[in-house]
This record gives sequence, C-alpha cells and structure tokens, in this order.
Amino acid sequence: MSEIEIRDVSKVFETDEGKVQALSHVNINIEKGDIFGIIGMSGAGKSTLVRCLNFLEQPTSGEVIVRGQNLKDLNEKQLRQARTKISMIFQNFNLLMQKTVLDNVCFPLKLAGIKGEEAKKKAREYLEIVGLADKAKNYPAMLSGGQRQRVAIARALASKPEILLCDEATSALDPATTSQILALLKRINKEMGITIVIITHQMSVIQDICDNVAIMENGQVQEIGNVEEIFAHPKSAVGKRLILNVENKNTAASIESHHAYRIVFNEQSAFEPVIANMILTFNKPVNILMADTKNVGGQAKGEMIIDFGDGDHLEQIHFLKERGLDVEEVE
Amino acid sequence: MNSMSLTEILSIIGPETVNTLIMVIVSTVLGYVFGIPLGIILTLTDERGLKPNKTIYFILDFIVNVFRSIPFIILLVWILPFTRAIVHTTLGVPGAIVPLTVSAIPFIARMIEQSLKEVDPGVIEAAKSMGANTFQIVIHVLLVEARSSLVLGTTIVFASIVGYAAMAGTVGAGGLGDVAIRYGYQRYIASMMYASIIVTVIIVQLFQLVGNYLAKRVDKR
Repeated sequence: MSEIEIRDVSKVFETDEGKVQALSHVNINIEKGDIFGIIGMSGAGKSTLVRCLNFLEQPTSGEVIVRGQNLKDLNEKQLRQARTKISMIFQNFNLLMQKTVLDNVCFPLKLAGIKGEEAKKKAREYLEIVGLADKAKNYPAMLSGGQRQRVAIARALASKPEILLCDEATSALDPATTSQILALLKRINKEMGITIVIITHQMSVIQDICDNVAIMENGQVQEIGNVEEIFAHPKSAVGKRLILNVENKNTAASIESHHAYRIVFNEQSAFEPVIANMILTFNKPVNILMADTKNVGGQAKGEMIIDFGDGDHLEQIHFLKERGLDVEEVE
Repeated sequence: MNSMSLTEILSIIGPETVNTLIMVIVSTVLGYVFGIPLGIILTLTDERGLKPNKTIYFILDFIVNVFRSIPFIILLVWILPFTRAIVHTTLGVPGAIVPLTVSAIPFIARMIEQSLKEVDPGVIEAAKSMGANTFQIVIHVLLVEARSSLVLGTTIVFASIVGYAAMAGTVGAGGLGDVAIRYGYQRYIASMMYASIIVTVIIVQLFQLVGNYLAKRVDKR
C-alpha cells in the first residue's frame, strides 16, 4: 500500500465570480520514504492539492488515503490526530512571531500534552538537528529567511511525523539558502525515513532532491513519473516548457529555429567528446544555442540545445543516439 | 464664592479622582471579562473565521452595533431599571459602573475582534496543520500573536471610558466629571473646572504612555 493515495480527487471552489475548478480527477500514489515533487505554474492547483493531503482543504470528490486511513472517514478529533503525523512547512514559514524559537518548536509538543522542561528538552534536540541550537532564545524576527525555515522544519519534526508536506518551502529564499534547506530535507528523508512531498514552481528544486514528480496544469496531472526519466524525455507540453525553461527563461526565445534539438548527456556519455566527434565525422557545423550541466537525483546531467542548420541531419541524430544520448526535437 | 484655595480644591478633587479611577478601572475590567469572549466569538463565527456561523455572527454583530450607536448619556438613562435591578441603586459609583460596563462590552468586543482578525492567517493554518483545535488556536495563537494590538486597544478603550465616566457624573455618579459640572459649570468656579480637566488629561495621558510602552515591549516582531 502506498503511503499516500490520491484517488480521483477534484476540488471546486465557490467564489463570488462563480465556480472555480481547482483540481480535477487527480490520481497520485506516493510511496513511503519517497521525496515526491509536485510542480506547476502558479494557479495549477498544486497548493490546493497539498492541502487535500491533510484535509486543510476537503476535496469536493475523490478520496485521500494516508497511511491506510481514508481522511474522509475520520471525525474532527481523529483528523487532528492524523495531522500530527503529517507535518507541513510553508513559503512564509508561518512561525509564531511573538514566541521565541524554542517556544515555536515547543508548540506541537504542547499540543500533544508534553509540558515544561520535557518539551523544552525535546525542542532543543530538534533545533540541534537543524543547526540552530544557539538561536533558541531569539525571536523569529531576528532570524534570516533560511533560519526561519529551519525553525519551521524543527517545529515540523517535533511531532515525529511520518510525512512532511512542503508548500513552496524554498520559494522565498535565495538560491544558496535554497540548496541548504533542500540538503536538510534530503538528510531528514534519509535519516528519519520521512516521506516528503514538495510543492514547487522551480524545476531546479525537483531536479535537486525529488525521486518522482507529478507535473500539474489547470488542476490536472499532466505527467507523472521518475524525475530522471521525465527530465530526459518530457512528454507533456507543460513538462517540456518547465524543463526547457529551467533557470534560463531567455533560451526559450532563442530556440525558435526549426532544426533545434535538445540533447541530454549522462555521466557515461560525458567521457567522449561526442559533439566534437560528430562535427569532425560529418564535416557540418552546428550552432550551440544553450548548454548546461545539472545535478539530477545525484547524477551529473548535461543538457544542450543545438541547431543543425538547414539540410538533412538524420545521420547526425543517429550518430548521437548511438552513443547513448537522449535526443529530442525542440518544438 | 467664585474662587477656592488650593487645599479646598485638592480636598474635593482628590476623592473624586479616586471615584473616577474606581469607576473606570472596574468597568474596564468587567468590560473585558465579557468583551473578550464576545470578541472571540465574533472572530470565530465570521465567514472567514475558524467556525463560520452566519446566524450567530449576524445576531451578535447586530447587538454590538446597536449598543455602539446609542450615545452613552442616553444609554445611561435607558438602562436605569436594569442598573437598579443589578446594584439596587442608580446613584454613586456602583450606579455608574453598570452603564459604563454595558457600553464598554460591545466596544471592547469590537476592538478584540479587530485585533484578532489581524493575525496572519498563515500562522493559523500552520497551527491547524499541527492538529491544534479551535480552543488551542485561540489561546496559543490568536491571543498571543495579537497581544501588542490588544494592549493598544486597551488604551483606546480606557480613554473612552474616562470620557463616559465624566458623563455619568451628571446623573449623580460622582467623579471628576461631576466636579466639573457642579463647581465649574453651575457655580462658575473656573479653577475647579480646570483642575478636573487637568487631572482627567493626566489620567488619560499616563495610561496612554503605559499602554504604548507595554505594547512595544510585548511586540517581538
């Protein structure tokens, strides 16, 4: 059984301007110990979806089964109990600004009926894990964004959750801080076996730490699967758009050419100077429109968009594919 | 006799200042005792609150508005029978505390509602995601996060009630307002008028200063 099963979930919001379909017929299975990414542009429905996983939003139809419990069948008290095992962190950290860092981490412990010194002792252990033991007496206002998110993570861990939901948890942070937070999440996943669900609009976040990904648009899942596979062969239109636009929105404009191909290298194919050999073999120049290397799921991946110019270039493509590269025409 | 010695002035102003303080402090405290729960219920039952309930919100909101729109001097007279039923008199400090409290409750409830609604919805959502129930959210999130704003609200409430208490003086409640009317207005003793005004201003100013200081002190944002 999957850790989280999302079965045919739809959500309709009634607003003053009429009905808005935020989610339609979403089906996702998330396995225990997975780091699962849900990516989409803003308005794709991903934030609504993640709130359906702890019933902060109740789906209009469909079922959410978390660790064998159908959330729909729980009464209010049981639901609150279930939520203590499904922690959540947020884009804006959502810390209690009037309480110290230590008291913030104590909060879920206090809710669980753990009192005074015992709660404080435990809270200090979690602050140790996120590397903020020395900030226990500070107030959140005195901390940087990255530190605040660490406090939020310590607070999320304090209830010993099985699942951690991250709602755009790095979107308010700079790239360096983002990497630190992602590294921390990865460590938590590895060392504590906590299943992590990450909502983001940043493809780099998905590439960095996710094992599997669902790509969403207009409230629907457009594509779902292993991150490496989807990165190499995005099938859906939105998937291609997200992956090609990674960190370089300008490239999209420059690849209007009709003979542009996207090539993905893996670690093996990086040993051979494939492009140079191809040019020497066929004696035809190519135009490199974009080149980049990325870390996808712990593996170095090279990505290049090249333009073969006019004329026949099937042989060149065959040459590249023979050498184990993923080649795909860019539309 | 249109002038009085300083000792005479002080001998009258002194006890009446105490009367004013008793009236204002007791009715403010009682006002909060009833106003806090009312303000919390208004916040919770609002359509964007934690326990939306249109009927309850509509009824309470209406009652609060009615009592807020009646000028205090009229409310004072209107509820005389109620006052008599509660404290068995309509005179003196006890007779003033009842109408002062009645007018303070809806005012305080509104101030509380306003302060609590300023709390970041994200923090409330976070508490919900941790499995907090509504009571826990009110106690550990709403009242804590809004505390600075609640303290500032108290200074406004206090200043208003000092004003109301002066009006209560006109119907025999005593206090500084009573002094200003009886000696200053009816007997043309300007020094008494000024003395009672000065003491009233000092009370309000002091309270405002303390309130501002506390509000800043408890705000950790």
